[in-house]
Amino acid sequence: MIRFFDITENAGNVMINLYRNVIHMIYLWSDTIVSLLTVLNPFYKGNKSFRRQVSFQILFTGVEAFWLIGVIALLCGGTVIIQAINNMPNFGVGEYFGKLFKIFVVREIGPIVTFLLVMGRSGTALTAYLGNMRVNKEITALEAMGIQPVDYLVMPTFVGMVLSMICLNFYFAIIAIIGGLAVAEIIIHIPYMIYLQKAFASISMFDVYFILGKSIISGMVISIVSCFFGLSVNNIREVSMVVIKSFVVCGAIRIVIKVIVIAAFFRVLFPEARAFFG
Amino acid sequence: MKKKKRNKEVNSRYLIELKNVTCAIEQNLLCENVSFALELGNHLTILWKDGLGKSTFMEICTGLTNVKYQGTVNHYGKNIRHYANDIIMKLRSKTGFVFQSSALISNHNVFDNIALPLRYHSQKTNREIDRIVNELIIMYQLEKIQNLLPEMLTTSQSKIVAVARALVVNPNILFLDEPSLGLDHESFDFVVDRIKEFAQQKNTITLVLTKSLSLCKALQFPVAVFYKKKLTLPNPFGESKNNEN
Repeated sequence: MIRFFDITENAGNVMINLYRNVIHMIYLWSDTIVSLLTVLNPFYKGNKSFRRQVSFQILFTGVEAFWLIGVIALLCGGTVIIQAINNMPNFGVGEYFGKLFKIFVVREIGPIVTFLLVMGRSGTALTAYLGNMRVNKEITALEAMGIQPVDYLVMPTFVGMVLSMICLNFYFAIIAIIGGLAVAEIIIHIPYMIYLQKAFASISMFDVYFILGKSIISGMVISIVSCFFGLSVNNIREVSMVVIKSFVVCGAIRIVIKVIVIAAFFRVLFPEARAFFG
Repeated sequence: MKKKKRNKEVNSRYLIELKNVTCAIEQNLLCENVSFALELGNHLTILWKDGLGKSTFMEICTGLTNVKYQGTVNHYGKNIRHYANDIIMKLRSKTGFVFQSSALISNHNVFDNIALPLRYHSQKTNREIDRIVNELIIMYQLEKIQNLLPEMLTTSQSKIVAVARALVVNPNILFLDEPSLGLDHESFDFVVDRIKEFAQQKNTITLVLTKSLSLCKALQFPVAVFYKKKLTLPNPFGESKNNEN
């Protein structure tokens, strides 16, 4: 029989664990930033593996995902353009094609699809990799050699992930516009150059900063959450569990950041964004 | 004043000192009141039966764990629990550690595994580091496997790579957890020779934990025996004299 005390006890434990995890993730994030600043100091001569580790992460997260992101960007862009060109004139808003495309694909669909793909592909792999390293005592071996796991594993991953996310988001936007219009031209024969001009004319520097900000935040969330859960593994049975957990928590954190932080922040800083956030 | 005090502590006679260390994991007592101290030039082998917490005890000795035991573990004359994390990491940069499972980094090849501590700690250029590692690879006859990942190595090869990685930084202290486990005869002799070579250098300390009597005989270090949760030490290392056990 489930007693009331059990329910409250479990709920309490969940809340305490949540609080601890959040605090530890903030610590990990701050340690990573400190480690990054140390490496960027021109007088610092240690940690020569930094560039190699960052290159490895960019190769795995960014370069190897190029085809996947490219195909999905093409399909997303093509679908939205075909639907917009076919349906918008019916509502009398055909001239707003560029703005709608910018808001829908470049600002929203692009960052969220990129985030989901990178999280599903690289974030989970990173969690499993670090979890296995923990189980096989490779992390302990690093500590025994006097190497901080944050310096050697987390910080290069963080840098690589942020850089990859920036590149992938801009790549998604460009492919969605150029490739999407090309797909639309093939299927419904639209005047390609006119629509291309409309789409690019509607994009401002604000959009560039907006994508940049979203990319940096997404990269930070994926790398820190994946590394946190990967490093918290105690035994081999936990590895598969933390992989799923990291995916879910990453999504949750991104939604929280999106809804609370970005909306509030941009509404105050950029009046232009008010119309967008409602 | 503080600096003088710190120097005094660092210049303590014993680099590694355990005082009344008692370790229990989930009500299972691993060891009780273990005390010994090692100064420069001391080399000790602890004979410890399998499955009784050998690796845990090694982690306690090296300061890799601070939570599983009661008592005091001093490194360089100061309680390991009182060191700041960055100081511990600096001290460990001059410490070699060979794990029972070798614990090579799985996505690095043999060359990168050996170069890893140098790349992180050393002020040398990448070219110098490559030269040092290449020399070590030739010395350890690892030329043919230097580009292989750890998963493609045999147990003996992994162990030799682990020993090479531990010794590449010219450590003062060498901890070895079952260095002979899974070695063939040839590799056994090779590893023993390397450990003896290290022990013959000035100002070094070696602590070996093993279940292998043949390794104890081959190394010819003083032997302490772990028996009935207690450590029976040879004369220079502890007060106990009941070596007949």
